[in-house]
Amino acid sequence: MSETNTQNAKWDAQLRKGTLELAVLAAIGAREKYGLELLNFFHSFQTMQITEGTLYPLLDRLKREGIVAAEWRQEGDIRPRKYYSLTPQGEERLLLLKERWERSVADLADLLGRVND
Amino acid sequence: MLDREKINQYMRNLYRFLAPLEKQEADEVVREIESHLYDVIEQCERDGQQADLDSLLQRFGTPRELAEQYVDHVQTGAPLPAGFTAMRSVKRGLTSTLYLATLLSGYGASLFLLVLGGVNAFLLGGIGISMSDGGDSIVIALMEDLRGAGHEVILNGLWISPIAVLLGSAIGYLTFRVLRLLSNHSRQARYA
Repeated sequence: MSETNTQNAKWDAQLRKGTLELAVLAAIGAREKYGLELLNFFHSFQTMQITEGTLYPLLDRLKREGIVAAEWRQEGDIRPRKYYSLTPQGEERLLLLKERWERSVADLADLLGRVND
Repeated sequence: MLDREKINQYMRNLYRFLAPLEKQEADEVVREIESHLYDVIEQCERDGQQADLDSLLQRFGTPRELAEQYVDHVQTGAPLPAGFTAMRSVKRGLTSTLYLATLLSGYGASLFLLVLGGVNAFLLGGIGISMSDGGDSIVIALMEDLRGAGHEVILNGLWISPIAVLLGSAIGYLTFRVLRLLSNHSRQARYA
């Protein structure tokens, strides 16, 4: 891996630490998903290369906090899967985090805009 | 090693490290991780590829690392910062000391009362209880010894036996329950 790629990966990891909860809520908010589906969805984004060891404990914590609900369901012949969806509390949390994220992005854009001033 | 054997081994270890969780919670975690692993294997097979199980398990972390994340959520709501390890050691030390103290005093008192009840019954109420040092201490001894020493016997009789046995059994049972609680607590501290 080149030096630039390493730096990018480090930056992505730092950023993910603070935004992962928002990303998970946004991903589940659109439509309920099971673990592997969620992981594949994240992997379709360049900066969302999270691992199973990060995702599942986070889902467990969100479930304990009542932010997401989980339900085992079997569709057809495939094995039962645990589907995650947002609770009303999770929907509120998603809106709140989304607002804060947009505020942060606007603030950062403002700061970066002044670099060349 | 076959994929299934590797998965089973990983799951067994994970389950072991999830011991601080309720059984139902641990079962649920294991069931979900196992379902994910077989889903990935099947997904690879559908795509005509061979699943790289070692790399997949590596992405979960070791069973201990993975379990710690679940257990930390239960105990603190979030993983503890690295500097808190000293507190864990103190917590573990305190739990061990308390465990030993409870074991010795609880089972000691229980054993004493059971023996007292047995001996008193064997001697047909030959054990007496008296006060000494102006009421500051209690003396339990053979009736002849108490009278010989000039103590005033305040309690004696065969009825002491069933009460001592009941009390000894109750203290023994309570000690057993408290030790089990402390043991669970200690186990959680070990994995925290």
